[in-house]
Amino acid sequence: MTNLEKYRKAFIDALEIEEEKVEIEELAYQDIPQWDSVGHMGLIAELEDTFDIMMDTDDIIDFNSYKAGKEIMKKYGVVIGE
Amino acid sequence: MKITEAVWEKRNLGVDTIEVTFENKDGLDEIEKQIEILDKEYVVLRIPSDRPDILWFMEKCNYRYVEDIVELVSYLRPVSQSSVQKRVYDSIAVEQMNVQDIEALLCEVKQGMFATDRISLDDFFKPEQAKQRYANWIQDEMAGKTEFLKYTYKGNTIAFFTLKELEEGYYDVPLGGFYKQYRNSGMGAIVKVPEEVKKRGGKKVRTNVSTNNLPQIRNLIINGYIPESISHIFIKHC
Repeated sequence: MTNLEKYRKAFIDALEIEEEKVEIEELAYQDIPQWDSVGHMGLIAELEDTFDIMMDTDDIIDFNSYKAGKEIMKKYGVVIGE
Repeated sequence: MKITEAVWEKRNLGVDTIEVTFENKDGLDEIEKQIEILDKEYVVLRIPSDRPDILWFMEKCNYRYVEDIVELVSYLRPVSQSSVQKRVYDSIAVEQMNVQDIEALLCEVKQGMFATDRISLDDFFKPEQAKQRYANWIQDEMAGKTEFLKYTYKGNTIAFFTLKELEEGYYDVPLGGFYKQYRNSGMGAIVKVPEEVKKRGGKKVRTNVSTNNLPQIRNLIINGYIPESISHIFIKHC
């Protein structure tokens, strides 16, 4: 799996997204009911497990969209390609 | 059945208000007699969730459903946290609020910190009335023995909560919320109230949350709170 596929899958699994109903690339915090604070903790945990990283608290807090997350992942050596 | 003349709502909202809290033991015959004589401008009913007969009767009397209030209680038992939760939990500090903090809090209230309560959602009232009501509530709690505490992250205030001891060892959290800048941070899943109650020698803490605020119910459940009761809230503008 590519990093993009793994990244996308982490969102789908953690937030229980139905792919055909949500434009994942445009997704932001609180856009869907599942991405509330509880969902956010689960999403970050899923990403950390998937990519074997441990995010700083600042980055956990700033991770407020699919797009913003791609930039944050770069800090941990994970490049999410197009 | 407890009927209360809510004089504070006259001040808050400019309407004569009565609040009626029904109990499981209330008979429908007695309720029917009492409801006929409720003639205030604004009537608020709290119906226990296991009394659908009262609920159906009130619908017939043209009362309107607004929300459910869920009472959640923590018995301060240890809670399992994920590595992510623990990291964020440990990065947040709790401190007493001072006068400047309260002023900042009142600014946050004016910006719409509380937007899912039944007054905000009621077309009868203006948004400014809902906000002023919370500002007044904060002042009322301050005049009592309620403690005002804040969450800070790297020195910045991100949220507040209140603690009130109802009886020895049993605490209530009448109010709390995250500040606007931090509402999209995911930190709402961090709840430090049980730890603070434990420090004070408490045994349990409760809070009430509207079903209009499901994210907060979820936050509390993952932090070990248990739902203990549900009340249906009905209103009528007369």
